[in-house]
Amino acid sequence: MASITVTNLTKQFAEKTAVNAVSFELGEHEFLVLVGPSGCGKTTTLRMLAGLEPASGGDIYFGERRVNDIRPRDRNVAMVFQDYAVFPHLTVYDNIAYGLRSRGASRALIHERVTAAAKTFRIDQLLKRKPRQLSGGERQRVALSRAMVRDADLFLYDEPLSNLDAQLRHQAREDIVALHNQKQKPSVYVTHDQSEAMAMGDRIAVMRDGKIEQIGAGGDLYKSPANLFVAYFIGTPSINLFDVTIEVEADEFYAVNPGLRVRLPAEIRDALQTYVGAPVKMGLRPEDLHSPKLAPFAVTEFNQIRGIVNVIEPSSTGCAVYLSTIEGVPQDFTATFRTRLPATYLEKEIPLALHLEKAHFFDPQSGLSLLKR
Amino acid sequence: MSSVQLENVVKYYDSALLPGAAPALDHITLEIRDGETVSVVGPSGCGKSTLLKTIAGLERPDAGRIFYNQTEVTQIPTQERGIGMIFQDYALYPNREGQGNLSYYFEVRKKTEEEKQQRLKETAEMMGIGFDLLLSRQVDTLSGGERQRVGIARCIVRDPNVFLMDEPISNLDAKLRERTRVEMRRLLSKFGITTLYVTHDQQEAIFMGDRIIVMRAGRVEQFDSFDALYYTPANLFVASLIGTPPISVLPAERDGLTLRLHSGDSWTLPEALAHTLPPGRLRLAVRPEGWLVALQPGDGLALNVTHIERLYTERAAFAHGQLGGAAINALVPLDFPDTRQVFLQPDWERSYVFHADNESALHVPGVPDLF
Amino acid sequence: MAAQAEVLDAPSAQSSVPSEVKARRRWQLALFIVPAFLFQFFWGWYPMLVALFLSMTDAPIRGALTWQGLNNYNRLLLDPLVPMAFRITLIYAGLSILLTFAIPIFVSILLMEMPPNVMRVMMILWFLPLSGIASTLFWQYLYNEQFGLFQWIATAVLGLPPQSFLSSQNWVLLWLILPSILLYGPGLYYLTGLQSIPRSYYEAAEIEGAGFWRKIWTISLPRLRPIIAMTLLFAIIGSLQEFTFPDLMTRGGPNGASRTVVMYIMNILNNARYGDATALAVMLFALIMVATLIYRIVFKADPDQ
Repeated sequence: MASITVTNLTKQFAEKTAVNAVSFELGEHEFLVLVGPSGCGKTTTLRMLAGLEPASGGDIYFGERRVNDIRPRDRNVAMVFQDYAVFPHLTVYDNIAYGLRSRGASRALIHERVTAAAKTFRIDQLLKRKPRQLSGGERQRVALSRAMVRDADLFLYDEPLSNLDAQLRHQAREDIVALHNQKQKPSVYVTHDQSEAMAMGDRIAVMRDGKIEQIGAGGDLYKSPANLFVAYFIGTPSINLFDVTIEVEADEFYAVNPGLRVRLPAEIRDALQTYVGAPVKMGLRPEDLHSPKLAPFAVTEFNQIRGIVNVIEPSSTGCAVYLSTIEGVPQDFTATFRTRLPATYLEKEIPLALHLEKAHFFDPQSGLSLLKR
Repeated sequence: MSSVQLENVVKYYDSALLPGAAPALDHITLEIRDGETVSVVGPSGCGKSTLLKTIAGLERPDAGRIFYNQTEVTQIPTQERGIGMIFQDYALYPNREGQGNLSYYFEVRKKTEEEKQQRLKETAEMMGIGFDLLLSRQVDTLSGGERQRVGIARCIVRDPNVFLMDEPISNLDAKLRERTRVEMRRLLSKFGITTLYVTHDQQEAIFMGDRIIVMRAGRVEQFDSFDALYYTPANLFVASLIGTPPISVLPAERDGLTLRLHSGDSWTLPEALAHTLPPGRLRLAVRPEGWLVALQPGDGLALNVTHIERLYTERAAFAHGQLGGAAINALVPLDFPDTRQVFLQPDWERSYVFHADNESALHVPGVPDLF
Repeated sequence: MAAQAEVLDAPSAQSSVPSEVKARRRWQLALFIVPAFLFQFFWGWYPMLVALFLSMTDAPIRGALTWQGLNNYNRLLLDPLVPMAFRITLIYAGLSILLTFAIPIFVSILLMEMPPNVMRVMMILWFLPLSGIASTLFWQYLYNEQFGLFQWIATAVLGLPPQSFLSSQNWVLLWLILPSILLYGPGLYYLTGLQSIPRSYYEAAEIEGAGFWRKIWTISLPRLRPIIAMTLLFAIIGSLQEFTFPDLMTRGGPNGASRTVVMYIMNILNNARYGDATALAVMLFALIMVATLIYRIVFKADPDQ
């Protein structure tokens, strides 16, 4: 039984539909991440769940209770804000205790909960300080502690990591997971960073222009994106997209453009049947471009692409190589390798083998995926 | 184009009179080679923006000298140094169209119309496809990435000696940032302009810089290529700053071949490594990929796994937990089983050891020989 | 993590600032301060010291000074009108602080809760820029005992007997202060201060279960505190020196019931008792000084520290 149900949730601002008929359900202990570019409506959706923004249409149910017309303070949600909203004139202790005091909890209970939460988030030495004396990371943990002491039915996070330095983000992510694991309550987390979403969410809803484009587990979104937008949005570096035309020659299907002619696997012929002679977008993840010598499949003249190496970005697991094609209009594409490509390859032309079994195909007009993977 | 040298540059801010005040730049000596892109990274307040402003001439050093191409410029005002600057907030003149932004320089410098058109045309050609379309639009209607392109073009028309960029793309959202930085990197290598690129994001620093300056508290901790910073960090600070997820740091104590953690658990060191280390307190640091992770006890210490983070986009997973008072992120295969306990041992070849007090490096893996 | 945070924050041995740099900075700072210091000296401290000196002389407009010692002060202490003027000043200051300082805080907070368009109209009405003299004439009309608007409201609307307003010895101070709620209101400062409070503070408080009053008490008031402190100081100093408005409205009457210390100083001056006037001014200065000191003790610290 879903503990949070949202149906056709809509938010209309003066001229703009910020959220357009969004529906989803949230399980008892589920962590849902709303992700999308800025202005996609993810934060507005979160604020409607909190009650900070009235819904223009649709329903929000907490269990059996319809909460659309219930004030934020009576919805019993906890929320971590992007700027943490830690009150600067109150001590850390008073900040964490704020919600319990508002609800008239006993002094003993407040003390017990505040000290326990502060200990969990390693700020127990700072309880008497004012927020100004704290670092950004510590302030963020005050905000997490404030949520931790509550018995809320729903936990909301509005881009809580976006103001932290990269080195602190990993620990903060663990802290949020710890909070979630301890509270065992449904949670909704908003971020614009897809890698954060992939790392944190049980399920991820990718939003664009006020609509949910796809909702599912991270691995599913990555392996079988429903459309071009999701394919492009999820994954860094982004998926490579090639404008190709499907051609048939001697019963074989080919994807063709001026710089490319590749033979497509037999399994996907049916799906592409109606597109023969028509343009489609072919997507290949950077990890599916291999050095011909190391490719885990047979390399032929019909699964290769050539490109000039523009940039080599080293990473701890290897490198990302940014290339562009030579023939026709130069087109950028990216490959990631498990080993480091030496800098001597810069400005050189190299061949790469395409793992076409992993390719995605999209209708160029609707953007919908042509394959049911 | 030119090289840039700093010689013992010291800069104090007005807080210099406060007790405990430290210089914003503390005897900085470095050389940026002609045509090179150098990124500067460090925590906020480390002096990286001050470094950029001092090279630009927006701040005058209290001591030391600055050279462009062996010519001293320490006392030369900013506008005569021939630099191009790009800031976080784009700093375009908003009510001019893109072209107006480019030609502003020629208007204030009283260049002829002919010179102007010629240079504009050259720049637009070099900037690539679609750039002439951007030029005719009002700045207000440009997206963040497009504004940055116009910003770069504005600098390029002036044929600068040095390009200085301070967090130029941190206002853009993640996907756009990814695209823009590829574009910027390519333009910079195409024009071969000496560039200093300040950022707080280590990933961006790695991407943009041929070499990277790591700063802390007004000093250069290390100035080298990514590989050198990653595999041969000068100290624990550099090791902690470079690499995500961050390196795990375990306070430990060596006694013979035994390396004992604060929790009392211990590992046996290989003899060759043990001999290079002093006895007593040390700091062991291990990167996520530097752990040997086993499901069975063996030589490993038990780690209670709080959570396994699976990153499909990076084709990797991380096992998280606490060991000897330190947070551990250990790299495991994406299909690693869901388990509550694993057994860990550092891959000694790939681990780092630092001095317990001054945090200087005692043992580092060194850049691996890949090819 | 503990170890790691330690690493990242570790302040390594810092080289201290050399003394010649400190000396240069001091010199630069001094250059910035000197003009302000000179201004303050010639227009602030120097006249004050001169006044202190003159208060112990007969301070004639022309001719030689005669040293009077504490004679001027003795004479003033024996004058029954002096304590009366101080009493009136203190009542006036207390009332006007209560009304013109405290009420706008709550009005501002209420305004903030209103829809933006309502708020805008209210702000225009409230802070209508009125010239001092014109508004004095306007208020004199309102308070007029024969055909003023208030008299009409009192008699025709409320059915009360005719009121004496500004000629009532007991009520004159209150009537004098009422207009300043509208004319002089620090309300604009409060509104600006309130608008600079991040909305997320209120939203967080709301989600944490705080009601209307708790939000005001735990967020609006503490965040306004620096502004409240500043306007309170101005209100204390300003109201203790009040002169123009009561002088134009009542000329201190009836029977000196609205004669503040500054007005009494004017009276003495008009009688050519220059030494006494200066001495009374010094006494008023001492009172303001004490009030300011008390204020400094009460409003000591920055709430965020």
